[in-house]
Amino acid sequence: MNQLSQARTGSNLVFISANGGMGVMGRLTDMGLIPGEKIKVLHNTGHGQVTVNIKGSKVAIGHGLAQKIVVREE
Amino acid sequence: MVNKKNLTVALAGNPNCGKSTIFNNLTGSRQHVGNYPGVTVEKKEGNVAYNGYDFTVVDLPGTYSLSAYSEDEAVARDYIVKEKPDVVVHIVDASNIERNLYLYTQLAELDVPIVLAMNMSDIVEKKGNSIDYDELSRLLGKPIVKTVGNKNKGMEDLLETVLKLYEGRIKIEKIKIDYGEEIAQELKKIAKLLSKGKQSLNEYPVKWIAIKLLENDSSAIDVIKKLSNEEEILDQIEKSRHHLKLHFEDDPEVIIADRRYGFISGACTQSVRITVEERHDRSDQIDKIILNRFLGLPIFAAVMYGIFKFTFTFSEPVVGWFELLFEWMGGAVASVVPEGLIQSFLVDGVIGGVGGVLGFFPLVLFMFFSIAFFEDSGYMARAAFVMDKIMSKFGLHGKSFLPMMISTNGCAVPGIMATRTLDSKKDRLITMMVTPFMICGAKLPIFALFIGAFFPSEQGANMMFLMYVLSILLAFSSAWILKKFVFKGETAHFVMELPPYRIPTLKGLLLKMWERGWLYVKKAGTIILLISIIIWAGFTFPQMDAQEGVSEESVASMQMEQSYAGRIGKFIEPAVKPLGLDWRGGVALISGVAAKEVVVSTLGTIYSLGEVDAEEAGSLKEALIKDASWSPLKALSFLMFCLIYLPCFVAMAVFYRESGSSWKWTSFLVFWTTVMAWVASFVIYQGGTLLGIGG
Amino acid sequence: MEKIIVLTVIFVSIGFLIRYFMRSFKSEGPCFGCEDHCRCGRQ
Repeated sequence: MNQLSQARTGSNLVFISANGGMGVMGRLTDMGLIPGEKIKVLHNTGHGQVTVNIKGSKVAIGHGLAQKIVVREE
Repeated sequence: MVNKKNLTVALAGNPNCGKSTIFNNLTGSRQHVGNYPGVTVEKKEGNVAYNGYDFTVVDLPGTYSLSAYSEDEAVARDYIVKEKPDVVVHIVDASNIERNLYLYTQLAELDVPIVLAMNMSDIVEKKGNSIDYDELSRLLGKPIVKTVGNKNKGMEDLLETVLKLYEGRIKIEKIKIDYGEEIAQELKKIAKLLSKGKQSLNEYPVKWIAIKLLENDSSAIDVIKKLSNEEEILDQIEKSRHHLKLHFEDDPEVIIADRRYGFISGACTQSVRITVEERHDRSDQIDKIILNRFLGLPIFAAVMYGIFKFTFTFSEPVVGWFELLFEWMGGAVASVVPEGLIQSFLVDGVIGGVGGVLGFFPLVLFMFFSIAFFEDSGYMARAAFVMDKIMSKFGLHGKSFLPMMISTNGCAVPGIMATRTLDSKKDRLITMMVTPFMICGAKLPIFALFIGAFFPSEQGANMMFLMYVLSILLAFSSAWILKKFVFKGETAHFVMELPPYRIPTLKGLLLKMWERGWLYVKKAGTIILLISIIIWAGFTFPQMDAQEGVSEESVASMQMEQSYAGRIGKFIEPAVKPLGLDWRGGVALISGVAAKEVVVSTLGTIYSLGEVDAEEAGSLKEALIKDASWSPLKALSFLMFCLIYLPCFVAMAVFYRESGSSWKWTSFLVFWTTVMAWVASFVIYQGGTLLGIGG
Repeated sequence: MEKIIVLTVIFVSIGFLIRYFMRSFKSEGPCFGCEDHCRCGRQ
């Protein structure tokens, strides 16, 4: 179990949960992030900002949110 | 046009899936399109006649689902749910089908007639996938049309299918998403309470509301607020959610979403064939450089600098020709029309005023071209992401960057509108407050004029760039103050889809440049012209009688000082004196509230009136250089004031509306910007004088 | 004569301007006030 903000570039992960507020959680769900979803980290800037591939689209996630997203290695 | 039947068609879909492009294709209108999410934030209507029908096509802001988290999404949701269009065309980016169809599951539950448009269908094949559209159509129960928006393919087919559906020549089937026994039970309980008595749910389907309530959707909760058994329903929701949470060990909305994705995934496995495994994407490689933590910001700064360098270098000679043209026009009119009121009206009012603004037309064209490139390439969303880290330190949101960029060289009006994409109300208000600080297309001429007049020409692009940097710093620091003292609270999290990079087509760029450039000319020929006429009148009346023994030049200047506008200027002079400005600068600033270009046109009129020999009058730039009462420092102080003070009238009107018709915030904006502008100019002028810079 | 022509033009201009500002405040009608109205939704 790790924070998405610490994920390595290129790693394949499984989304577990997010501890953001209602709104953010809903947004992530709408963009395809549901528990068990496989995501690929395209790039981690090192500042904790990441871009991930979710269901074939590229989504940028800010550092604050990335810290709240819990993932595990596939 | 007799007996034409009307038919409303709404275009819905994810952000950046090509809705506006299809809208433009269908209706022949020219909506703004761009390669970043959130270009459309307001619904837009257009018409097309087809087969005896008059179609009203409505382009909606992009949305990922029907639970609206931001204002622009609420516009889309409310339209579909409340206005009930005859047919909803759900536009799907076929190259990203699963995520796009999530919205479909919610639209389908609303029981609206849907046609699915599989857009960008050409890319699917290029990516090496193939979709069995017939099978997919059967599984989803809705007709499917293949379209390629940017190549204008499939439009006729789309209209035909919409019409067939409307006339009942094709049937759609209701789909049923299997939420599982547990959820179905709870939904039944809620639905039962909802249909107790014949209560109005604003025509929402009971089942839809029930699901939304279980998802804890705030707007669904608003709907039941008026019901007689509101307490009972809320109680049941509480119980149901609690029960499901225990059962699934997760929030019900997550489980519901999971089932929806499950339904789509099922449909896709049967109809979509991935023939080639995902290749290494070139845009990922580009992003690794552009989003790099060390390079991200320098690249952004370099891109912006490149835009200014390009614009200034190439437009400078052309701007010179335009100045000459208007000079010549002034002289020509003066030599034809006899001296008198009408001559002064034409030469000083119309040509002196509007000419000063139109002279910068080439500059504006070049600027629009560069900005269009920026918008179409896909870099905008990346820049927002790069800036998010810094902006969050100042209390802004990465998404606040987009409205600010739209305002930069564009216009604060769509900039303020674009704040609708921000999720948090506080973030939105802060962004609305600082967006007008950006140097919009209308302020650009003021800066170009003064920089051209008071700074060496090889420094032009650098000075302009510096001004833009200043405007951004200013916006950031005011946001920080506002966040600290007025809008306390946490900034919303950043999550945004990054569109694929596209190489803009020259035709697309030129078209955008021309459309926006034409608007600049149109505005100069209408609003700016009208205002210039009034400004001219303000300086011409009441007319003084000619006095003997006084030179013509001092008559001209006395006339102006004693005119209505001159008296106003003299009245406010004490307020602008500490900023190094005289009554002329004061009048220009006041009139600029009507529209920012007017600052330039007013100065043009003033200097043209002051020139005795109309046939010999030079350009406004030359007049400013000749006038000993200006200095580089005073020019800087003046520009600083222009940078910060009151947004133009129209921007204020939009601010008022978008802030929820709040007089409180609108007057705060007026007060805040005026005080800030005055203080900043004061510091620059007085500080500069003390240090003896640019006297 | 000159004065009459000029004054007429001035008053007509004032009329148009008032109409324009009223419209932009009520946000209806064609909008000239904005640099790129293709975006602002009022057209």
